[in-house]
Amino acid sequence: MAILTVKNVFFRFEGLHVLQGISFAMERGEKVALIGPNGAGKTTLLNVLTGLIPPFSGRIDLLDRDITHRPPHVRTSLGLARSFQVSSLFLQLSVLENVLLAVHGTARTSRQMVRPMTAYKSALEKAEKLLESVDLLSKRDIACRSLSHGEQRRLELILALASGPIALLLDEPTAGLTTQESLELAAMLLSAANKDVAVLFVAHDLDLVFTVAQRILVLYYGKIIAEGTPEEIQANESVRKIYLGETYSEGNQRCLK
Amino acid sequence: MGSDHKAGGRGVESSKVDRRSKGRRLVYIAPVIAALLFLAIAPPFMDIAFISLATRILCFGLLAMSVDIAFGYTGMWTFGHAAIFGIAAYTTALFLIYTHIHSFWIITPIAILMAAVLSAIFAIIASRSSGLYFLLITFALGQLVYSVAIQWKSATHGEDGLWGIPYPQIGFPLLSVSYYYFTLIVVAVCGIVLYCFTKSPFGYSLVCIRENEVRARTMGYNTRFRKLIAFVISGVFAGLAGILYVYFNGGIVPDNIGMAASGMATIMVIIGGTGTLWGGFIGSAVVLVLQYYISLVAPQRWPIFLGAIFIFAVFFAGGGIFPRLANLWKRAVGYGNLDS
Repeated sequence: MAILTVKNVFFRFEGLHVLQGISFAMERGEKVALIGPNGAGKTTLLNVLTGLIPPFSGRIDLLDRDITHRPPHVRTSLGLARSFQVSSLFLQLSVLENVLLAVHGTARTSRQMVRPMTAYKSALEKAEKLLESVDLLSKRDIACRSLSHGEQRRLELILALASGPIALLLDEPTAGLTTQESLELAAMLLSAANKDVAVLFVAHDLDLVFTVAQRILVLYYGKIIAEGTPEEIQANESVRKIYLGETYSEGNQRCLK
Repeated sequence: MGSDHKAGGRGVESSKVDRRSKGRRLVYIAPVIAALLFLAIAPPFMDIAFISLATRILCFGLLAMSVDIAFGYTGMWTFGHAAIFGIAAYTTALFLIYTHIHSFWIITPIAILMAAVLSAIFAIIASRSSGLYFLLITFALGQLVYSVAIQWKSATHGEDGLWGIPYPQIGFPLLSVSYYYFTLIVVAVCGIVLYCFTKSPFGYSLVCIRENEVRARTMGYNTRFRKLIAFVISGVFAGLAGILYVYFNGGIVPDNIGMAASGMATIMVIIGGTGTLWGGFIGSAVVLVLQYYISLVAPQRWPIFLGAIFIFAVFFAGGGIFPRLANLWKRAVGYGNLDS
């Protein structure tokens, strides 16, 4: 059963056709990578899917429910969550406060204007469990700005997972990390997220893509030019030419083999 | 077994953290309790001018705290709070002057309702914008209310204002000292309520909206609705400050609700420290005490000194006086930096 279905989505900005008839579907628990060169429209697609910008036309369904014109907070409460390319944490707040805010975002919280945020036991337990899953529990009382870049990326993932999503959109979750750190983060993500969660992640790191993804979408100037398993994408000649150029480096050839 | 041991260890660690957190909180609010005790004990030993000044500080302190909820916590740069303060003050004065309803307990809820409605109107109109544009829209709406107060002479007496407001009857008569204590209690209760509000999930979500509204929306927060609610709550407390002020002042004039008054409330918040709640109160105390004493010496020079205080606060107490004082206090009692 498809968790997230995207049908013929168009988005135009100042005469530029950023997204041109994007269609795909994600099954329960499926890990899908979205790759493409800079300017292909990857982040725009995530912004359209999360409701931050409205599509020009097309339809987006989450579990057979039309969410095309739903605002972002409603999509999140229905089970669609995302992370950002640049860490969007609340730097002056503590690590725990960040996660609690994310947990309370979709929770039905009683007396939410008078009771201290840390007094909600179930939310606190959930937040601590999430922090433990990415080895950040020991840093729960530290201000976010004191975390290293890698720790901030991990926390960014946790903020997306805190709402208990059924579909998770990750915009370059490993940006700025080494390959080793990327793979560790991917392993953490896969263990932290419920295995039923459908994940769509944007990445430039092909090692990560071919390690984690079950299916790959290749976006090029607003169009999905190829879609398939990692093996199929590796064998796709147009992907080699368009995504990597006519002549590509030894390193990238190795990745695609 | 190993895991049990580990879990037990975490439990001990967690309870230590909780105890430390409670200790920190007590240390944090100790100066506030000391200030309240001073304000409660001092009046019998002071002259009437001090009591009058202290009542004024309490009224404007509450207004500044309400501005801080909108401006400091939620990031809504408002320049219309004096109008909200004013509509509650004018409602009270109009009831007392033109009707036979003189009960404090009937007029006050109506005046607060008027403040809530006006702030909701301001927020609905201004909520499609943010930052400087929000400020300009609230400024324009505030000036609209100011114009009504000046132009509607048959009701408001124009620039002369409405005078002759007696101290309220709250079951027993209040005079200057007892009204001071009444104001102190009301402002203290409002301060505690606002403090609890800022520490609640809703209060934290406002900080989250101020820092990154896009992120807040994708975390499940209906940011426009929350901003509207925050502005209305802020307006209710601004209205309450207006009611306390009109009874204390014995009247209200348009100058109390115009651009200068909104600017003064914002300056109080900036001097005291934005997003700190108590900072607004400290800003109110600093500005009004200095205004009082400088006006005694050089009445015409006060605005120059106000400008100098503002520049001093911005340059030498980045973030405001309250965070500086709080950090000094924490260092003095060995709790390190406020930010840590």
